[in-house]
Amino acid sequence: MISIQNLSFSYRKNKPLFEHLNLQLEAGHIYGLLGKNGAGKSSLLKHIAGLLFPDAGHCKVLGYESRYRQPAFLQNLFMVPEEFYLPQVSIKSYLSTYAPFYPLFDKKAFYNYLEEFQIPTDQRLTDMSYGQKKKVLISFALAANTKMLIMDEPTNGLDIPSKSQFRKVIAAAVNDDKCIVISTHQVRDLDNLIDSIVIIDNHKIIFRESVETVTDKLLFRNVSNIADAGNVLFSDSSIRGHAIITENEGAEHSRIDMELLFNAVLDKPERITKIFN
Amino acid sequence: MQTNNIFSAVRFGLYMRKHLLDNYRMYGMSVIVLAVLSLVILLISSTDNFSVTTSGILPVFFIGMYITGLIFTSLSFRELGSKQQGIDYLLFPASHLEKFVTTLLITTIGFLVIYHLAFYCSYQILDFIYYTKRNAHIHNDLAHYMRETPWEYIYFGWFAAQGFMLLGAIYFQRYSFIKVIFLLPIFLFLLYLFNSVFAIIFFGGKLHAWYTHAPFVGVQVMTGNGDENTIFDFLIIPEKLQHIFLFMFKYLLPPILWTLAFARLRDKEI
Repeated sequence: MISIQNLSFSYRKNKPLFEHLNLQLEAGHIYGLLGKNGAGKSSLLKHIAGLLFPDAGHCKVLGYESRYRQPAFLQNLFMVPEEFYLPQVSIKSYLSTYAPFYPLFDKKAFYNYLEEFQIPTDQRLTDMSYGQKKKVLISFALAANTKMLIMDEPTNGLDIPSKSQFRKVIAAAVNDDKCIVISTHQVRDLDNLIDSIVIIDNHKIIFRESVETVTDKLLFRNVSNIADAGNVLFSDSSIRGHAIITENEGAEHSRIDMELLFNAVLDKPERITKIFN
Repeated sequence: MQTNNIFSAVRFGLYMRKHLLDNYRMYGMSVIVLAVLSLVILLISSTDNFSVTTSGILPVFFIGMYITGLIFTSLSFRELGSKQQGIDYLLFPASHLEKFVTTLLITTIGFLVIYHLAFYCSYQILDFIYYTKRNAHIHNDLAHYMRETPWEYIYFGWFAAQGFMLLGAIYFQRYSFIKVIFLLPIFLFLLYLFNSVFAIIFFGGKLHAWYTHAPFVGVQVMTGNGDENTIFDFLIIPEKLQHIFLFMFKYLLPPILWTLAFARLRDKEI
């Protein structure tokens, strides 16, 4: 669905953001794109959407070179940017002008999503708070039924109940034809939602695994004494004890701690890579 | 059904509708401001005891058409000046051509139709005021003026200026009007200097002075030593070339500028 090959890009000369970056993403998954500040998460999403052009290499989405922003490509892609724009119109008017451009748009689903998010449908978009506007945009994005849905920090600005509603609607929206890519700093907001993790650092994709593979190979535990834990790959101490990652040698089941995994991948990339290869 | 990625009439119609619905408030207010402003300027220009004729109003009409038309065009693609609006604009599922043609039609035909209507309304109000004052209508000498004056060149010039402004609007998303107004004379001056170099190369010592030439028109040469017997002559380009240049100015310059603006839109990144 997304095929990025040898992508190189820089905003300024001699300061590359991506160098020969390769990434393949498939339909039927919700990918979490993680990375430090300035690692290039948003820029990578912009390349996928065709808002930035590679200096070298290719970025193909659904078979289209994204940089050409052809209508057949755009009507199958929806991006929810971190900072977004909605025109100064009513929801009804927004729907009547934007929806006809998405062939698979489901009007009923749109109103259902709005109901789920408790958004009054008779309100003008200008009279809404940032969080409410974001919920309208997310509802539209899901109802558009595009094959690609990319979201940059979608939970920013959402209140606590809305974050849980967000997880619920996204989990319900994914199907075998759809690929969802979510870039975020707030990994805990996306617990139980993401099924594949992509970590970007140092101009490249340094980690790309499914949650299932991660929990097959790594064990996430909380221990009170780190010395008793055995061969610890990474640990994070807090007042409640130590959150640790070890190799899953006994095929035990544990719940992934994405924040811990992210820090482990950045801290010990060689060891992690060795385990997964 | 296969999606047409270049131009679809249905999608273009829907996009035009969307554009008008998104902007109808701004356009509506602009029309009112335009009509009121035209009337105010017409009233000011008629303070000479209302001894006004239709052709006497035309300078106001044409100056207004240039100023408001170019300001309006300079506001095109303002979406690209904001990251949020730019993303919405570029990712909207219409082709670049449909988006560009929408803007082009609105800033050319759309503007000209609205401007003429607004000015006509103002003229009718002025005529009504004139009638109440003098019990007669404004003397309409428009037919005579149009016969005697090559007025159509004002429109050709307007389209060329509009093309420059549209190109500027896509290059500079902010303060594009000021930037184009500032850069256009510099561009024309550089063109003049460039022409000077060729004039000196081709005519050398026969050129009256380095600046005595007009690009695309001719050069002033002298025969003699510069004393009182020297003859100065302005050499104009052959008639055939004049026609070609005129044709290019009238019919090719605006489309070339529009094409450059379109190419720039396709290459736009956010």
